Amino acid sequence: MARYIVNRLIQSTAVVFGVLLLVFVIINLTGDPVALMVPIEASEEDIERLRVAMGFDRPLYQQFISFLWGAVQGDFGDSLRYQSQPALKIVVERFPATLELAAATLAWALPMSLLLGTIAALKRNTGADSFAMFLALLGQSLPGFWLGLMLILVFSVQLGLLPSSGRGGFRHVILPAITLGSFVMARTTRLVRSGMIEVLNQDYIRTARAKGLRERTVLLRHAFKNAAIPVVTIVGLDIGTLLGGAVITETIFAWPGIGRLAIDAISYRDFPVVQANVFFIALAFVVINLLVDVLYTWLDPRVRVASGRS
Amino acid sequence: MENKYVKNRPCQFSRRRFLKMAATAAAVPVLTSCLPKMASSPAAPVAAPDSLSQVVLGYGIALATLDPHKNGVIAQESVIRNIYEALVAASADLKTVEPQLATEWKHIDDLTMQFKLRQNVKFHNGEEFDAEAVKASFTRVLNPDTNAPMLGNYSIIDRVDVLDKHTVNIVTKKPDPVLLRRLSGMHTNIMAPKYITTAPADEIATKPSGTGPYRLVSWVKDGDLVMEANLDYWGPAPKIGKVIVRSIPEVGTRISALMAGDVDVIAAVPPDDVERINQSGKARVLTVQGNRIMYWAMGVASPPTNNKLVRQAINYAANIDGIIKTVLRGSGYRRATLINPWHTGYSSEVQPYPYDPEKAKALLAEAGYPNGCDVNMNLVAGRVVKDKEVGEAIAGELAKVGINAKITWHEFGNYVSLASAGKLDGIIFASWGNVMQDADQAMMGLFHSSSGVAKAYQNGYSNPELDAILEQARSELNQAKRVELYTQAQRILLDDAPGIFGYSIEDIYAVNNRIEWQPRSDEMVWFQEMSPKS
Repeated sequence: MARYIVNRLIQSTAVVFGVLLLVFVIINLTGDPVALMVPIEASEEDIERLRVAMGFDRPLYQQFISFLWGAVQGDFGDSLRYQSQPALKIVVERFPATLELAAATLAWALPMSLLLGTIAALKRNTGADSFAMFLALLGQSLPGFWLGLMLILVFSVQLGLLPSSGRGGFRHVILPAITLGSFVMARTTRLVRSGMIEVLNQDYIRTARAKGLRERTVLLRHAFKNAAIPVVTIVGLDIGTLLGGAVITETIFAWPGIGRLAIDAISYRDFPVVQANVFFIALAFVVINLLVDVLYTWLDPRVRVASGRS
Repeated sequence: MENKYVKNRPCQFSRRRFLKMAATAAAVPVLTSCLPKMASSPAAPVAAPDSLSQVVLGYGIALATLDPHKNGVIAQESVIRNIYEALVAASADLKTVEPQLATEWKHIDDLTMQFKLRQNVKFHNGEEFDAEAVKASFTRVLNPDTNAPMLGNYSIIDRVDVLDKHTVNIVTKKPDPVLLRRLSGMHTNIMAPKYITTAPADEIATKPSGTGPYRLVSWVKDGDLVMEANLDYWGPAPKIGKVIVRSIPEVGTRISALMAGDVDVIAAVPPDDVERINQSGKARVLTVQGNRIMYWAMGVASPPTNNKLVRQAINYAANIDGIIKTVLRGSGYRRATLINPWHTGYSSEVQPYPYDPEKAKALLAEAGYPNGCDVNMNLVAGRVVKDKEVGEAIAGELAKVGINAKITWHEFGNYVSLASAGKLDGIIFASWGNVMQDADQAMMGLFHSSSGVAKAYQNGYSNPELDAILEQARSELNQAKRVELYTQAQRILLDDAPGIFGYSIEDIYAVNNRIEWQPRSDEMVWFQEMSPKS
């Protein structure tokens, strides 16, 4: 078990550094950041002076070495756009907002999908099943952009019930969480349903029922735990994505999260912030994946046994 | 061991899990209501509709820094100017400058201007405003290590001499007719001297301390920036007690937020939404002639735009007036070149190119293109209101006289890299926001042969006669004489036609009906000029 986790940790570190390397190369292919930092009204001397001051006149390999050296120490340099402010700090500042939105999204989407998926599996081919699948279809096919604007029009402009944008108290998070969660809910519902249907046909479920166990015990203890493995995988990925920020939802609802920062940083060629942002997102993904892996060993002892042997 | 695992754990796990599932719905409020505190935003409640002394501005631009000496973005200056002040300020009609931290000034000689400073003024951090603050501020901007992005606009200033506590001389390297305009903002905002030397750079960027009518309360980047009225302000007390600048990047959301009453003022309203807002009964649209002038540079190095006659033909054919009327629904103002009526150096004698397709065809024939020609057209979309539609409309107009414009759409960053490296030719999107309100900045910046735009965007446009006039106008202290010089300069420009001369865009704001306000042409939003409607 310990060796399994150590192995995964080493792999994860390699992944994070691979991502950093890739980002450095790609972003340096996109062009000169300094010309974009200053308005067209700035003089040529101003642009050249800034280029030298920020080290963009150096050969690329030198820039890469100093970037790596800084990154190892957690220093991605000062943001080009948010002058004099460390890039990593700017990313970390946004994180509570992203975390809040991710938590609120999962808080309704997960229970909802577990409930809908299980009901749909149990009452297969009935009205309840059709209704659950209809909701899932709706959630998966409505574009977040459209859904968000519609929710604002109905609940903020027409009914005046909820704030249209920005981050504040609980009321602010409702609409973005619904927008962001509808897709998560839809996909997970389908996954839970198909997983449960598969598991419910297994021999051990028949055995459990034959033993005379109560239906509740059969469902919760035997069926659900086995059906949970693919769900945990996908939800793990979803959490990683949510922690990476939701660009469209954050933009529509003016939510000050990491996704908007990433897009702004890219369009302004704010290299340090892009790099710090990608690092942070990669880290979030890796940590979540690690947790999912550990959860596997818990849900399915075979994973633990197999990895212990290898 | 094994037995225990099978019997207890899964049961515990499932029960807990299902309990949690049931509880999460109830737990959401607890979870989310404690999270915002982590971001340390002490005060950001939603605008209560009846709190008359609060204004929320929904802003499309995300603010990045509040350090006036490191800011080159007009939209940021608009917020910064409520916190920081300069020696002088542009008047409401932008035609002159008015006293701000300086009360009076006079020329001592061609290089020296003397300023009497306002007394009993305090910075938000308690420091006193005096001659030393002025000296320290200019020293900071002019120090190359500060990396002021627009330093070039101010490097003509040589030094500040302190005469006494409330008198300074500002000495320029050459006679400078633009000096007062220069001192009216951007890098010439005055900062507190101790604060400059003791506060770390990232504190100066995020926790400003000026002398202005509003002081910063809190700022969540990409979220709310909260300001409150400065009770010790030297001028008339602001009527709006609390101001929130909320970053809302999506224009649809901005309009919805205005309609829902979540924000009170929004900028950059699309012309197509004007009617809807005016008919809502909750808010109204306010428009003003904008400072930014649309311009499409032309590369003078390669054919066909290396031929002056072709460039003139393009200007005759572009039908800018027609495009303003149709595509922009009237929200644009035709300009002869790149000088707005309120700029120092403007002359109404200089007239823009008329729409004359026959003349355009004749010029093309004279240039050796009787059957028309192809021209590259390099455009970007989404930077300025309707830039995409206007670009396409110009291409359509050119086609009518036989000029086949081949449009390439560039991503903005890529376009800036290519254009500033001189790698684009034909017709090249550009626009110019003149922060100085003086013809010098646009004329020297775009058309003097030493400027980056002339060298790169216009592929080396150079006219020695024009250069000489612009240099003369730059050091001529007699403003009437300068107007004459810029009139001559514009005549040369219209003849050379190194670009398509366009129009000033209209700045469109929308304001909640409970607020009284008159926007300005320089994109500055002065909250002390707003008041609750009685």
